[in-house]
Amino acid sequence: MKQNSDIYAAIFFIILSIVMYFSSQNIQRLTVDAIGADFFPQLASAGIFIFSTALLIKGLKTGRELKKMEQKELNTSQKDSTPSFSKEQAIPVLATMGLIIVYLLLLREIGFLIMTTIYLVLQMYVLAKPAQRNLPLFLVIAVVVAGVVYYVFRYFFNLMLPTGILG
Amino acid sequence: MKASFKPVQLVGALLLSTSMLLVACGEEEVDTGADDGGADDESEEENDVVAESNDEDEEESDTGDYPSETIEIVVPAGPGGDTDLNVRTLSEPLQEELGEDMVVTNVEGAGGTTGSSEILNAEPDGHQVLFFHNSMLINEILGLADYGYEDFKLAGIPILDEGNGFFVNADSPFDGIDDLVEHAQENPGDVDVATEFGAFTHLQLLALEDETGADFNIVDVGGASDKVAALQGEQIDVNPTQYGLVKEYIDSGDFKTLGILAEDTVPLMDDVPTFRDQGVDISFEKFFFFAFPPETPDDIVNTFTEALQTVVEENEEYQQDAEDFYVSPTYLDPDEAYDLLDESKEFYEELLADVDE
Amino acid sequence: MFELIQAGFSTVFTLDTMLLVLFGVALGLVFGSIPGLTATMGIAICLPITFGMEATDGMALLMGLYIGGVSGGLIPAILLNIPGTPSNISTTFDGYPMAQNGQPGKAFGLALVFSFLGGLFSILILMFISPPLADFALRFGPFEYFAVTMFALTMISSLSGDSINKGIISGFIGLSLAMVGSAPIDSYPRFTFGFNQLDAGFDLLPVLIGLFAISEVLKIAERKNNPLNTKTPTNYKVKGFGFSVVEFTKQGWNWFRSSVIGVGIGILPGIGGGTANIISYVTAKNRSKHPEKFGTGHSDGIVASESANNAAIGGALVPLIALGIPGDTVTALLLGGLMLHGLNPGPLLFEQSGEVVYLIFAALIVANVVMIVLLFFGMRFFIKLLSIPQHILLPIILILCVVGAFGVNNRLFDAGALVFFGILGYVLLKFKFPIVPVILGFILGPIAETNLRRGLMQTQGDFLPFLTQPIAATFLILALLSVLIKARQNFKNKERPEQSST
Repeated sequence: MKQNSDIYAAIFFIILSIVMYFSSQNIQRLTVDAIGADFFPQLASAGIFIFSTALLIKGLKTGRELKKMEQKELNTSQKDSTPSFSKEQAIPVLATMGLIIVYLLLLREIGFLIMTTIYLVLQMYVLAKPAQRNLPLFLVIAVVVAGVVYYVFRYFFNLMLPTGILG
Repeated sequence: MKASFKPVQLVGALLLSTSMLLVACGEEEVDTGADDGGADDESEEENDVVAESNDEDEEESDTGDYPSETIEIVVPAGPGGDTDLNVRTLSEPLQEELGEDMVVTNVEGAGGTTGSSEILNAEPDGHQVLFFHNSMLINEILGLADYGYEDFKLAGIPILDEGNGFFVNADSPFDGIDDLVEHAQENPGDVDVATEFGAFTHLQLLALEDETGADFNIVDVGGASDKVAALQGEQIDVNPTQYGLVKEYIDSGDFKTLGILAEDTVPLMDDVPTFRDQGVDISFEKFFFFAFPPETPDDIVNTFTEALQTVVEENEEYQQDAEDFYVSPTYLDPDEAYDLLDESKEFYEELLADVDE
Repeated sequence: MFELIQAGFSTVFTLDTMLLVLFGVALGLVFGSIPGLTATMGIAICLPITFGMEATDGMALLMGLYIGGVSGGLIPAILLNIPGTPSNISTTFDGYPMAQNGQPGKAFGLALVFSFLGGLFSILILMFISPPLADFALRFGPFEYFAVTMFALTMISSLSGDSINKGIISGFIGLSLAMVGSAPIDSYPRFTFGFNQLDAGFDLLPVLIGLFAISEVLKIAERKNNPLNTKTPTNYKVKGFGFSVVEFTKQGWNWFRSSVIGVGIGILPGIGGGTANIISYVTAKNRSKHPEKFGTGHSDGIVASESANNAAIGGALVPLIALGIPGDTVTALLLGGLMLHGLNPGPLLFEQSGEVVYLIFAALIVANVVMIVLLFFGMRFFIKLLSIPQHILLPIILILCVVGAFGVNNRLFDAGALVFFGILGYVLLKFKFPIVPVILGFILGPIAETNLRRGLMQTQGDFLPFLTQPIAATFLILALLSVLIKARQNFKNKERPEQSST
């Protein structure tokens, strides 16, 4: 439900702003000015706090109103509220996030060519619908892309992409 | 999978056409298969474009096989600044001398600490080297970095910039540094002088205040080109910067020089008075140095240093290029470099000790 | 002067130079169109190649790259809802919906014709009135910059979708993220939690590409099993530029206003093309009789965005050519390029190296023409890219984003930041927080902070000059007005019985 997601977000940001405010207390002033390096962090945390509180109040209010109207027009408001996160949706998203993170973590050690090939194959597999999954094809594309990107950037653009175990 | 075959061709075509575009300019660099051969090929390609010398292989050094691959020079400052320009002019003759390609990469941020810490933690095989200047000392003293030049293996100083001067608009009431000092002694805080907090020019101002008892309104307006703009826009009264960066504006009659902070008259700019000539007894010079990660073997540092010395002292083309920027190609070996940095650090610490209040 | 222009053109019209311009534009388009690679990077990479060339040849190549790089970003913006460069953020707002509505040809046509015209406008401004404009730009000190950024930040209220409240929170989040790293002026590390890697803060590119491109990939991953997603738009017919003469003439005023905004913002160092397109888009929307059409594939939105970002090119070159002062990272690189060729950018550039200056002008015009020709013939090809299944195309784009982020500073850290911002962007989208204000806060927040603190340093703590300096005061009043007008509009909407609540 949308108003619920607003409430969660608002609470999260309120906590964030409080943490920010206190951690900005440690910022020292190195210059003798009217405002130091701590002014803007405090301003930002105050801003987030105020507007998140407003969002929270509004969320609670509409939540209550909505409950009243619940019998009447539940369907319409349901339609444009945040879609609940079904399992089929969550898995590819989480798998994609996981793949990118693992890819980056291993990139320096294993090297660009190998990791990119592996990543591309797996990522294509994750994003493809079951009927579209064609591993040999994915592998060919992955090898070609990884190779071309590596050599173009490494030798033409002088970008020192990690060589890893191949170097 | 007939549906997905066509797309593959398209992807292939896209990548192929991209690479062909690149090949059109860069000649034959994509077809290299092996890793070692690749590096060689690349340096050839670079040299083809840059200069007509392909004879780097003839020069065999006897200290192991260093360098065996592309050397990356990390510049902890943005492209187009004086640090960047200095090392780019230097890297061309240096790569010919070392027989291996050199790549300059700019690792900006956090007053240069991002780039320098990168080299501190780099593989000590001599294929990554730092090029930096005085700010490394200041960063350490101010506590912005928890390491200093002592933690690196210095590979010598190739360039000194003695043109650290103070510049004003042509219609300024001040004609020399003595005028400025006198005015600032009588009217504390009246003159706006630009600097970047914690930068080299900030030190110069502190030294000047310390030495003469003058009091300036020290304002931060940003980097070198921001300072030029601020002086032109009359938002500041004095711009302390490098002579080479404002030479054009002096020639055009927009700016004039109050003096430079050199020890003696600099041959490159012999018509420019020094602070000392005008009775203000301070001097500063900006030095640029190469530094390797701490564990780098001496053999490797020596190979690099020898090449550096040859270029700085013997390559006339390079010397001319450097002098065009109003910097002096002056070679100091690692020992001399350590001495200079030790001395400077002591001096800077004294100056900055007073500011901490 | 006309002789010099003629001489400039005759230098460009030699085979070698033309080929360099052509190559520059083509490569620039590639860089611009690949999310993660930008014009800045293209120029940084090609700069060393120009050292071995004649100054004129080198400049021709770099100008081609600049024009191509800024223009290329419209391709992924329209096709994939991913801005190729910061300059194309607002092109996605209407370009992508228009393409999805079955008119990608029209979206491309509008975007490239008005890119061309916006660019041309700014080049002419650059050629004929850059000295007075540059003098005006010099009068912008910390007070003026602070005021301009404040004004630009009020744009957030028009870019927040349904909830201004959420938009403002997004803006503050952008501001907070920009504060990670060394503080301006005194370099005190903030919110780095002891990680030295964070000292330099986040670079704009990973933030932008993360928020827009990575989050888009995640969104598509989510929709994978959704049957609605099977629509693959393939059979587009494109005729000419895809729009009629009447439609073209209706855009005249919009084009002019957007180009003026682009030039004006381009001139101001630091603010640059990344914000010009957004400000111009918001202005067009607020001035329009049909603001509700914006965001649904409206021609005006594409025209405003694409005229402004190309007009910012000429703007950014004004202080460089007239005074030797770079306006953004690209012009800083060009300055370095000029210096390495032994030219001395500065007040004497026109006098001492007039032939190079006019060659730059000629190269810009030629590059602009080459750009429109390449894109015109290329657009049929680009549209076909859409027929590549997304599960193949998107991972490849993602790899290029990672490589581009890595290339910003040659650090894997920036690639990590890219992923962090991608996930952040996705989560924000899930909770229906708008993303564009994050970018605006991220770009403008530090400019506001730096200049506020610089201004106070200059006045030794006195706030008054922010209100008494005429230019600064004007912009602050404009900012206030824009907030008040928006507040009033909102109030009016609230008065009405709630039909479309939050």
